[in-house]
Parts: sequence; structure tokens; C-alpha cells
Amino acid sequence: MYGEVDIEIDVEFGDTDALGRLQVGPPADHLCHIQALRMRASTPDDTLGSLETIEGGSVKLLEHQVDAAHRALFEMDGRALLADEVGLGKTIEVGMILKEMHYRDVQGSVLILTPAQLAKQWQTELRTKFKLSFVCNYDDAFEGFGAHDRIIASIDTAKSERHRAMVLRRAWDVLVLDEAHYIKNEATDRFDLIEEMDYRYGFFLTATPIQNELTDLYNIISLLRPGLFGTRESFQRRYVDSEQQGLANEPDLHRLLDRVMIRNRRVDTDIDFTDRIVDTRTFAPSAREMQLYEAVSEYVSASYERDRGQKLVLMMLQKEVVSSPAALRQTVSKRLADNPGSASRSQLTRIMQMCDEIEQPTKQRRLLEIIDEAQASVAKGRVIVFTQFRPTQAQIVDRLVTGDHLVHTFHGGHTSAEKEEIVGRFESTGGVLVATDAMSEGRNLQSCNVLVNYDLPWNPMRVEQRIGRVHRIGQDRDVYIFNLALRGTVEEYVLERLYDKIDLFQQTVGGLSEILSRLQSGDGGFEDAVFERLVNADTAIDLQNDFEAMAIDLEEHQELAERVGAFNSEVFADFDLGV
Amino acid sequence: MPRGSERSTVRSLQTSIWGSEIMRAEMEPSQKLIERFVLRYLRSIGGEVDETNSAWGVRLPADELGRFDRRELELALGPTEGDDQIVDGVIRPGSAFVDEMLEDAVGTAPLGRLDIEFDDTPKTLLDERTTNGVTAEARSFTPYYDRRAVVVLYHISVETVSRYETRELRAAAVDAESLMNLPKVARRFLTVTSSVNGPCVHKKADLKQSEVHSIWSSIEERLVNDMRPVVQRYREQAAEAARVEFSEYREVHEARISQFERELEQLDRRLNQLGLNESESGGEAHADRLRTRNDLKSRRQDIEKELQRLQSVRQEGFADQRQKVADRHRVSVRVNPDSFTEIRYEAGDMELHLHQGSESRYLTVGYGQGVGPIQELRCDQCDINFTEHNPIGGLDDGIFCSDCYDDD
Repeated sequence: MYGEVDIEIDVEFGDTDALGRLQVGPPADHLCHIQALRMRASTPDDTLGSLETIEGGSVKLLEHQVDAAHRALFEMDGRALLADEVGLGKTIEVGMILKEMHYRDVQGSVLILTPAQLAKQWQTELRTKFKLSFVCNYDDAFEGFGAHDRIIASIDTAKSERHRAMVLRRAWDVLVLDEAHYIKNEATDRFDLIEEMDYRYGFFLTATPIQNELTDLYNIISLLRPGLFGTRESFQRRYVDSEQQGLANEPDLHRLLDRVMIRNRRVDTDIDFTDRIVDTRTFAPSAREMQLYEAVSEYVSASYERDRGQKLVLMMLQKEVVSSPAALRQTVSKRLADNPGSASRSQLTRIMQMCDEIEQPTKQRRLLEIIDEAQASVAKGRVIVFTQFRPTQAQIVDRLVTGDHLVHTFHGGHTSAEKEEIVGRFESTGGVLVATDAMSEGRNLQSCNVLVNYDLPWNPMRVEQRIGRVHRIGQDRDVYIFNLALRGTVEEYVLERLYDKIDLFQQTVGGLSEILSRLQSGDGGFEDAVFERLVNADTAIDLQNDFEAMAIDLEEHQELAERVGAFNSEVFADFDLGV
Repeated sequence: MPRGSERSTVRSLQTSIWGSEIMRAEMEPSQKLIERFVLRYLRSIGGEVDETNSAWGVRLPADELGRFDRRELELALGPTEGDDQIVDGVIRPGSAFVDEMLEDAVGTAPLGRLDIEFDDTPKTLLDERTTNGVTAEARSFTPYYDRRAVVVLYHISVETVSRYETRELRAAAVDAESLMNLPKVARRFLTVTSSVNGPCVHKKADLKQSEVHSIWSSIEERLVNDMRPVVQRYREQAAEAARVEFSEYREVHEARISQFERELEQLDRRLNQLGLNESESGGEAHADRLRTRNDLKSRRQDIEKELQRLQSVRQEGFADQRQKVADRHRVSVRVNPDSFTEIRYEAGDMELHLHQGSESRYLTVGYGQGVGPIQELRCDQCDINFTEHNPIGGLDDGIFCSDCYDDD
């Protein structure tokens, strides 16, 4: 028949030679041998009995996922940090774990805490892939944390005044915490909530257990396994080599981490990822755009010189000016409204006027060209456009709608149900999805293989998160990544001098973290490093030189880079498959 | 992780469709069993164990220092909570100390001999091989000589890409010379070696490497046959998974063909619309059109080429992909020997008294203590062996199978 495939059976017989060589010791050893053999072969409590019920269904299990679920349950006593790199299927691993617990009838109450925008996705995945029904706090049927045994909720709902007491009153059998890096900071309500919760089994998920420094890991793991690392001070003293900016007592740290953390890296799996094809397009800004850019840069530098406390908002202005005049205008306008007596009033007013004078931003025009090009040449023609700013998003959407494109909008202001609907519509009807970075964590869009970075986050991890939405398991086509940048602006520097130097767009999270942990441990992160260089340069030449120096720093400080690479490898050594 | 279900020490015996018993040999490590094992193991390497206190004191010979850090050990008897650090090891199922010891023991002495006591001779024999009210009473056993049985423990695993591996430890026993299957010996071996204080004496084995090799070669096919129902289930599932994968591939392939066909149509339409107007010759618009036309033609060629390739693959029945899928889903069966144990048993003659109503007969058969009849018994008329499918059915002027007896 057309669809039939003939399956062969390979039979392999082991030989007896090896047994002869092992024949040593007194006769009494033989009985020990038999008993040891028989006892070791007995695995009554650590086989994943539920696998049979999952396989052949709507989910294809991968070896590293089965292995991770097995280790989390049986080697880590049901308390584990699942720290696979982005795209390797941590949700699937948790699904298998919960399914197995359900199969063994050992789970009573289960609470899954996620970022708000991912709650519905978790609910759908567990229902469709594992036939596990959960109520979500966004469901009409949700009657509070005391009323159901299987709940998926946003962590912020759980910590809210209204629900916190009930969440803490219950003794949960299982707690799953998605994007666990959000609790790396011990001075937050989220951290407090998890610290005070009573739960028996805990599974925390994050692709980036170390965001900034080794103590991030301390905070997350100490919530899972209180006492494993001792006190914060003793952890610092024991494992952080402050003089060498590296790791101390590695074997000891390995031993401890191995008891609680599972980390699969893409490179260690059999997963055959498709290629990434990166097309960076740098355009000359119009004269007006360049004038606006210079005016904003001047304002930002001067203001920062006067008051370093305004760093965040100034950094935002610097990012917005290359995103869109609309984004910039909104922030400037708010700044003017908030500070009516500001000394910079005339300067800001002028910036607003300059924004208004730009009719069609260069990037927008170029974006249309790319979309047309992509939709004409790529099967299914779905395109996702990422921007950091809502006004930019709105402007892009207006322009695309005018051009008769089918457009979907996704941002943090939508409810979870709306987000589900938007993604579903995009998948079924195609077209262009214009999204802010609210899209970039957890939500999967393998049906799309063209991604446009309309503006670029200065945090490379954010870029990787964006790409991770489309370039993951299940993506069967090559992924096209278009980067838009305005020549002579910070974007060009970041893209061409920095991201290219670290080969960002072909990087995986594991590779990136080696570079970032180093930078971030020094001066507060990549974003800060970019901003400081921007505002501290006196002339354009200085600026170029500064970025060049930063780039050279990345390359030339090989020794330091290697040390950081070794640091991450050491921290996560032996966390690959099968260990 | 709490256990979902307990397994019995020796798993229930099933009968395969080929008639031989499948004997699973996995044994759950109970606390008592682990303690006896550790004790035996430490003593086998020359250690002295003081069992009088709640924690055992162990003194090891100097030559075992490589294996342990020190000569004197204090071992706690589990389960314990949180005090693992103050002793040198904890004796409980799953503890690191015990796991290491099991690992060590598995790595030594896979060939050996155990002398085990068999059950008393049963009062009746051949129960499963008689019918029509025939009974066979065991009257007297006269042992003449020792024979050797060999029990083999082996791992058998079945695996395919779409299903988690099944791996079992099994036991089989054969007579060392005749290679006759001795399931009762295997069963007794499993019972004795899983008992905390089994009546079991270990002695130096006479097994030679060549003999082990020859026994293994002669039974390995049979062992795989015993696994056939499992293998068959795997094969069916693999075939289904392969079928789904292959048809998904085919659907994608068909979709690509349709897509390219649509694109060709679109290109043809655009080319037609671009029909050149001679009067425009030489103008800039004309040059633009020429360029566009050339681009479209070149793209059309590319698509046509790819379309032809896809159609040709379809024409050939996707042979390459079919083979690729078949290779990926092949079922792999591995059988590996783990241990060979020599067991002596006495063989001789057993006198049987057969009854059927008023008829009775005396019969002497070859018999192995703990093994059962080791001689084939045949029908006086058709000369076919008596088995459970061909039982003794009559004793009138001979011993007859039920078929021959009924015919008379």
C-alpha cells in the first residue's frame, strides 16, 4: 500500500567473552553478583509509566525531555530547576512530570505560576498535549485559589492583595514556576510569595538561570531547596572568586547543582534546527530624521550630565528616536506635561516639532518593501514584526492597514484571552503580526518563519528571546531574520559593531550568556554599557571610537572572555544530556 | 517519590505462546535483603562486621583500601533522615553506598556455582500430561549420578524510535550437556537467590569459558523467541508511527507541488499581462518591462525545475523517504548475557505407578531431583511423546496417548 512502511527487526546478541574476563574473586562473590544484578535491574519506582499514554498522541517526545522529566522526578526528589536553553521544550518536560504524577496518583493540588501572558498557553498545551485539565485565573470558572486543585495563574495575580492569603494558606502538592528568573531578586513581592509558599514538589523553569551574577542562581535555588547552598554570605565566600571574577570551588558547586538543576543545551541534543538567514539592512536616515536624532542625543547627553538619576528615561528616549518619531513624541510630551517648569522646555518642544515634521519614517518605507518581498517569496507568507514601543507599533499597523495588508497586533495591553485569539488568528489567516516584546517570552510561533526586528533591544537576550519564538522545535523551514537600522545612529553601532562581533543572530542562549554575564557583572549590563558610551562621547568620532573600543574589548579581551566562558561551562558543566 | 505500586519479589510467571515460561529476574531490594547482601559482600572481601549496634562497625583488610577510603567504617542502617554525614555510609535501598556496592558486585564473578536444595520429590508426577483419570504416583527415586544445570541471567531489550525502551532481566536454565530446558531449576534458582537466608552454598564452578560460549550460542535464538510477543507489539507500533510520519511527508510534498503549480500559474498570468508593446521600444518603461519579464522568466524556470524534481520523487513512490523512515523506525532487539551459574542436581530412575480405574502399570523413567522427568515418554502405539497437548489417555495393555486410546 502507498502509506505502508516495512519495519525491520535488528537482533544483536552480546557475547560471553567479557564475562570470562570478569571472573575474579572468591566463590562467595558469585551470589553477591547475582543478587546485585537482580536488585539493580529492579526499577519499580523510576520508570515513566505514563509515557505509553502520552506517546502516539499529539506530542512528540524528545529524548532529552524524557530524560529531564525522569531526573526531576526520581533523582531530584521532585524539586528541580529545569534550565534548558530556549526552545528545547521545558513546558513539555513539565507536562510529562505532571502526567507521571497524575498516573501515579501522587499529585493532589497543583499550582502553575506563569507570567500573565503565558497562562492560557500553558492551559492549552497541558490540555491538548497531556489531557490534563487546569483552571486558569482568567477563566470565568475560576473561583479563587482555594476552590480548585489544578490551577494555572499569573504570578502577579497570586501575589495580589486579594489572593495572596489563600495562596499561602494552602499546602500545595506541586508548584510549577515558569520564567523563574523573575524571582532572582530577593527584594521583590514575587520572591516573598514563593519563599512563603508551602509546597511539596517544585519545578522551576528558566532558560537563563544566571541573568547577571552567580547569586541569581543562589536566590532561585534557595527557594527550591532551602539550605542547599547555605547562607548567601557563605555562598559568596565559597563559590565566587571576587578577585578573579570567576568561580571558586567548582567541583563542590557542580555536586550541589547536579542535585537540583537540569540544563540541556541545543548543541547536545539531536534536534536538527533549521538555518537562520540574517539580513541586516542599514538605511541612511532622511535629513530631518538625522537632525532629530542629533537633537535627542544632545539633549540626552546634557541631561544625563546634569542628573544621572534620569538614566532610565533618557535611555528610553535614545532608543525611541531610532524606533519612531511617534514613540519619541509620546515620551517627550509626557515629560513636558510632568515638568511644566523644566529648563529644557524649549529644547523638548523643538524635539516634538521635529517629530511632527517627519511624514514617513525611512524605516517604515523599508519595512513595507521587506514585507512585500517576504510575502512574495516565502511559503505561507507570515511575517512577525517586533518593536519595543507601542506608538511605533501603532504607526506600523496604520501604515500596513492602509497598504491593504492583513495585520494583527499583539502587545502587553491585551488580555490573555485576546492574546490567544490574536495568535490563533495569525496562525490561521496569515498576514503580518506586529508585536511588542510582550510576545517574546514563551509564546510559540513556529508557523511563521520571517521575523523583522524593526528596532533592536540593546539587551541581546531580548533579541534571542524574540528569535526563539519562531526558531524552535517544530520549525521546519529556515528562519529569515531582517534587522532594520538607521545609519550613523546607535542602532548601527549596536548592530554592526557589537552584535556582529558576538555573532548574536547565530548565537544560542548558552553562548550569549558567556558574554553577557561578563559584561553585566562589570558595569551593570549591556544596555548600560551602550548608553554610557553614547552619552559620554564628545564627538561623532569619539562615539565611533568608543563603540569600536567596546567591540575590540569583546574581541581582544580573549582571556577574560574565556574565563567567563569557562565560568558558565563550569557552573553548568555536566548538565547536558544523559548525565 | 512515592511508589505507585509494589512489585512482588519474583514477578508472576507468564507462559509464552511457545510454551516455555518467561522468567523475569528483577528483584526489589528490600531493607533486609540489602543488609544481608552488604554483610555477605563485606565478608566476601575479608571484612569483619560487628552487627551488634544500630550502626555496623566494619574492619576491612588492608588490600581493600583502594575501594574504601579507610579500614574502619561505620555504617548506618536506613532509613535515616539528615544524618548521612556522620557515618561512612548508609545501608538502605537506593543509598549511594549501597549503589556503589551493587555496582562493584555486578562487575565481579559472573560465572559461579551454587548448590541449592530442591524441594522434596512430589507425590505425583506428569499431572499435566495425563487425562481420562490417569494418575502417576511417584514411588521411589534411585539416584545414580550428578548432572549439571546452568542458569543464565540475561538482559533483553527492545527499542524503537517511537517507543521507550523495554528492558528486562530474565532467567533461563538448561542442562549443561543435553541443553534441555529446565524451567523448574530456573524458578528454584530465582526463589533461592531472592531469599534473605536462602539455603544456598557457593562453591568453585567447573564452568569453562568455552562451555559458557557454547551454551549461550545454543540458546540465544530461543531467548529472543520468548520475547516475540513484545517485539511484535513494538513492530506494530513502529509501523503505525512510520506510516503516520510517511504520510505526513507525502502530504507536505503534495502541498508543495500544489503551491508551485499555483505559483507557476500566477507567474504565467503576470508574464501575459506584461506583453510587450512594440511601439514602446526603446523607452525607459519598455526597458523596465523587459527587466521584469526576464526576472519573472528566470523565476519561472527555477520553480519549474523544482516542480519537476518533486513530481519525479512522487512518481518513484518516495522510495528514498520510505527507506529513510523505515530505517529510523526499525526495531532493535538486544540480548546480553550477564551471569552463568552452575547448579548440580541428582539424576536417576523414578519408579512410577500409573492408575486408571482398575488398570495399573509400573513404569521407570529418567528423573532429575528438582528437575522432573528427564526422559521422553512415548505412546506405545503411535510413538509420539507425551505432552500436555498429547497426554496419557489409557493403560489398557500398554500406555497410550488419548488419541490412540480413544480410537480403540
